Amino acid sequence: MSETSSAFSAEDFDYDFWKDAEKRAGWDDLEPGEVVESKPVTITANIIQRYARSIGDMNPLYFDEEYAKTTRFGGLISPPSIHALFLFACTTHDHFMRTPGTVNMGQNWWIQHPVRPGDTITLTARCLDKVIRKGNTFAIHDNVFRNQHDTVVCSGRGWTMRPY
Amino acid sequence: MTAEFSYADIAVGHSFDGVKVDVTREMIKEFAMASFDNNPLHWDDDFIAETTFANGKKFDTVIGHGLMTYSFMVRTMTDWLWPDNGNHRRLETRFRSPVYPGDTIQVRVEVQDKRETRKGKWLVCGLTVTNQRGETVSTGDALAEILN
Repeated sequence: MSETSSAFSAEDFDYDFWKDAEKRAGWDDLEPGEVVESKPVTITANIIQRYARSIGDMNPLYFDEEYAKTTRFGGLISPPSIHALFLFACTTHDHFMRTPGTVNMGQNWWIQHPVRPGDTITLTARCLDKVIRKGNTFAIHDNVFRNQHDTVVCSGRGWTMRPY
Repeated sequence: MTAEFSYADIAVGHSFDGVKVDVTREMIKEFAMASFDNNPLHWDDDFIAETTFANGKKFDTVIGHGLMTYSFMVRTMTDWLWPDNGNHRRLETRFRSPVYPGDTIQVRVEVQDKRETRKGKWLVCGLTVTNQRGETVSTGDALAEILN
């Protein structure tokens, strides 16, 4: 993927999370506060609609442009949970979120603006803190999502239990 | 579409059932593809069998994504708010128990508080997601902004 980011499609994504697994940072290697490598992704209506279908959300605001234009949103938007896919689409294959066995413990996202088809989303992602609790290792990460106008569309934190 | 409501119409304590979903392996796989989270926790039974956590706990089978549950919680909020001049603005979740294929999960929302700020009208909402055994699989704190 180049920095200028053409429209993203599923063919651009490597679904094999075992590949390069040994290159990914373990809990010991995570450096709280350090921003990890990421890449801008231009989202299409197709990717948004596939995501919406997967959660059974057939809201016409995602599918019917003529209808969406008549609403206060003024055009097609995406489900506010769409940022789930940017966590993976915008990060590199060796990012620690892809480590097999990573368990999501919780998530908080503040939604500032809807993401629309054609938007180019840039993710600033970092591990923010590291915790050991009841013998398990956890990472706390924060994520800020900006669009092509450098406007923050969403920001929040999550925490994952680390497999190693 | 329901009739538009206003901030004044909504009482603290108002609650309702939201999205109810029968979770299947196929659904989890579809979410893995659509959200680009293809972690083997969500499809690989052999990996599940050999994965043990520090407290000795194991998952029974492959699990649904936490963010899949999250998306059902958000969908409950948008289904409620968008037709009625409200916006979903924030959700903080804790994924408390695994969601397995074969589970039926139900989202429930309760308006716990209201607050007018200098520029907005807000509903503080508590969300719970329970399975068919009555176990709470996820809880959440949400903020809804009401525009009128």
